[in-house]
Amino acid sequence: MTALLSVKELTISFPVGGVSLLPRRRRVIQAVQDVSFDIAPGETLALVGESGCGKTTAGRATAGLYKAPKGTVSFRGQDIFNLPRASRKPVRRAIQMVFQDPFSSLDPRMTVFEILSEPLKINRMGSAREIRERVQDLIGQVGLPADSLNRYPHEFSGGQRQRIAIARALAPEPELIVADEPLSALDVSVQSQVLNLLGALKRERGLSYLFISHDLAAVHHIADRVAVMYLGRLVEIAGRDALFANPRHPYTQGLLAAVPRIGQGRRKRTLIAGDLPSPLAVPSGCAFHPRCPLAQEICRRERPELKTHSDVAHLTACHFAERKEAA
Amino acid sequence: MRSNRLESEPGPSRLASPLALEVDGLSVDFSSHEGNKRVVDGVSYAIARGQTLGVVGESGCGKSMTALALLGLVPKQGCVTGRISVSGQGLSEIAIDEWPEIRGKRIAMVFQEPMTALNPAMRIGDQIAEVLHLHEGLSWKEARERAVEELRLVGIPSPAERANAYPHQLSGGMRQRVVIAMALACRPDVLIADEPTTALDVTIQAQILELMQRLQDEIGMAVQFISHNLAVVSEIADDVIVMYAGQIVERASADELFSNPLHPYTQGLIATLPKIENRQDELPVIPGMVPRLDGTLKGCRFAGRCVKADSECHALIPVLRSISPGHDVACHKVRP
Amino acid sequence: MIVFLLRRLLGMAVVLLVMSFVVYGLIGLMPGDPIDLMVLSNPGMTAADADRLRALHGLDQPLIARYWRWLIAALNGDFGFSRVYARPVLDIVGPALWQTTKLVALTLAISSILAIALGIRSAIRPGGKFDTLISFVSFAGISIPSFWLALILILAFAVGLGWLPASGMGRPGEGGFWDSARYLILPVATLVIANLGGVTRYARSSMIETLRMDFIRTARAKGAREPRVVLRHAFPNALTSVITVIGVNFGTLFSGALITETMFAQRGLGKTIYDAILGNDFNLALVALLFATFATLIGNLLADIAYAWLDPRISVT
Repeated sequence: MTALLSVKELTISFPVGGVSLLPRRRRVIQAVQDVSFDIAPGETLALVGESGCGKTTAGRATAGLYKAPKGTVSFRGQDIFNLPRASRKPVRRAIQMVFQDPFSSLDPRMTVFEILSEPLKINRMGSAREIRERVQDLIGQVGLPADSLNRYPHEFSGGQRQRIAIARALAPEPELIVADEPLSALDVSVQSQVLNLLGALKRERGLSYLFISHDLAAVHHIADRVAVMYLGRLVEIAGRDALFANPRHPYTQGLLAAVPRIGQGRRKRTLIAGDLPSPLAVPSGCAFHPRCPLAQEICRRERPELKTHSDVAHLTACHFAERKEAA
Repeated sequence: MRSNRLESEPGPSRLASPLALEVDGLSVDFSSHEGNKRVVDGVSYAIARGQTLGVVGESGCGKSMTALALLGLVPKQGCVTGRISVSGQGLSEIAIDEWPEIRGKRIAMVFQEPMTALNPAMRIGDQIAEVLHLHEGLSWKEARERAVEELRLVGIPSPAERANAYPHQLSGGMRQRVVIAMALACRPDVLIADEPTTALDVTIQAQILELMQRLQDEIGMAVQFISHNLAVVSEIADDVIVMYAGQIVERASADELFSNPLHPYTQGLIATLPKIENRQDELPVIPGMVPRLDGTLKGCRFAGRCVKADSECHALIPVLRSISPGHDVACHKVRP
Repeated sequence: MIVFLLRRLLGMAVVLLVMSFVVYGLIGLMPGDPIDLMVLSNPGMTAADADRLRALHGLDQPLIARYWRWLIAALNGDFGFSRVYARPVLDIVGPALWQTTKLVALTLAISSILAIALGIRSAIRPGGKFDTLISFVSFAGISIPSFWLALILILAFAVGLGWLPASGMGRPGEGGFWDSARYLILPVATLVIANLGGVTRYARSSMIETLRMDFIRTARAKGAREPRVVLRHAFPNALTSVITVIGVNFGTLFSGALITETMFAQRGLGKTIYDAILGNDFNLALVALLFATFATLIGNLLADIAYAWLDPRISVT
């Protein structure tokens, strides 16, 4: 498998001051720590986890939105943080983003045509006429009415706006789309429409996705592989079916058990106790140990490596990943 | 006429326990220069003590406006008609300045956003104490002591110290516990929860759902649980109503509704959800969008998006009628 | 809190130091110096006399050297002599500062209380009769030039009705408290009217914004009645942003009450600065400006402290 995108030991930290009137001693949040993953051409990798786990930060770094963090992100073998001038534009073009909120991610003063043609103009992709034709193609592909071009974003519903955002991401013909919670601002019946659109684009164009989401049912629908993050680190990464059928990390197990499902009725839930710890005070050893039902002394002392166990494609960062019974 | 049907509602628990909340023909209209908009249209239901009614629908279906109407908090431009009673006491007749005596005491509410629902400049203990001070006639000192007990009840660790915290010092899950403590402090007859877990992470959502069920068992209030998330509703509700464009389109027990949905909209909603246990390459979709509620609409409000719709659906408004015992549907194409 | 204050005071000292250099430099760059004025008013002086005087007063030295000498002296408490008044600068600035402090403090106290009360009342029913009336009056207050307003007030209350003195400050030591207070009424009224509109608009919009927030709905859902919702829940949260505006006004008023001070012949800080600059009175202008700067900084500091006190999310440690 030659990777389209390869992320190696990505580490990103932010200084935090909090809301204060003084520049105080800089504290640092380790938003993403030592995260590595690959995405193959045509593959969808889902990055899941709860708020504050670093999935959004990791996704944005992948799209080149932060300057030179620690670690590398390479696209077709080229490190995207150290690109020679000539290949900057083509690589930037090849990775596009779709954001969570279709209400704030589109410039309200631009018409749909302007929004969609801008990336084409920036990348000098054809004459004015060719651009017009391409834009017309695009709105057809994402299922927007043909008369949308001269209208402004506020004239569209949330689902339609997300289609516009997807069309904008598609415009420069990317190979990878980083989609950050693209469904969570949408109504239930619209979510399935957008999921279908993403699936169709993947099949027709061989697109790869980095699909960032907290919605495990949607992830199960669209992803080929799933990576689970907890407090900035990957705790488990595996093929979709392996992960959902046989989660090894107790956090993944808890997460899956917490997903509400239709047809279970009022049930006794297996709960992960406690709150997410603050990213400013990450627990020692395995960061999950204060909430973990399996925790032992070693978990407090030693951080488990993310490594394969019986199945080579299934990596887990847990001292007890090999245990016979799932908790 | 509708109230007759409510009383003849089957189900053993219904008959055995008194009704905590009865809503009959509730409508909310907003009139503006663009004409009249009926955002809630003739909604009737009842919840017995200790029972949970799930209210499902997408944004704009009127589920949140229904909740605000129950508390007399519909914005001034809105006009509310219909009958609401809490444990037999009618609320429709009461004067505007009597509403504060009902709110927080007989009917309480938990809102969606725990991040913004609490006063940022007030200690959480004081925010809970305020309800007790207002309704139970406790002095501030007594109310503060009771507030600590309420915090303990909703599972906040070291409640005595936490009572002095400000909302920004708590996590989202903890804040939602505070909001729940505030709502339940006076042991209301009815708790309205409007998307109470939507803003929370899944593991925290599971904790809050568990907490709400435990408190319901202990306190015995009726719960109206409003959510767009069908799976959450299926886990917490005894009965479910499905709302579309301001109207109830289907009502049944949770088990019945999710195993045997009859209204095409309910069927569509359930079908569009991706399911972990049953993956499909292509998800079914409901085409189109929610119609504008400007009064020009004739017939069934869902007809424009419905695959089964014919001329009858576009011409005649379907009434909610019983299809089988305990299962009501408003659809011309569904017959007993 | 103490650490915060110490840091802020240190920061203020640095700002004042930088300001003093900038102001010193700017005044030094102005065309003409005091000796030129002496030459103009005394035709008998020769160029040699002028050079001798310049050397005597150190005016022939480069700017940096002069500034350094001034700074050393100032740090020892010697701010120099006012050329125009021929008295130590502090003797002139001190009373002016006191006069302006009285004016500003009264103005701020009255306008803030009024503005907040009117703002809250307007915000309860935006677009209502009261709100419309107050909006109109606010805009009128903002738009009316203060010299015109001062004239009208003098015409009405001093010339027409004869209730209050038209100008001046009363004689120190004579007439007692009430007498000097009478001289303050019209200038304070002028400044209050000029100031009120802006702060009222601000208090109103801040309050409207706060009343739309989710926790206000929560407060109502708890069963709190409207007065409690407005005063106990909305008001403290709306106040934080109003405080900032009042803090900024504090600084502006200190040096910016010039027109009012001139109209009512009040020897305040603004008037002193203005006269000193026109009269080429180096030392006086410099020190008066520094005091005005200091007042601005103090205003901001007080606003920040109030802010942190009102909003628990902001810490000053």
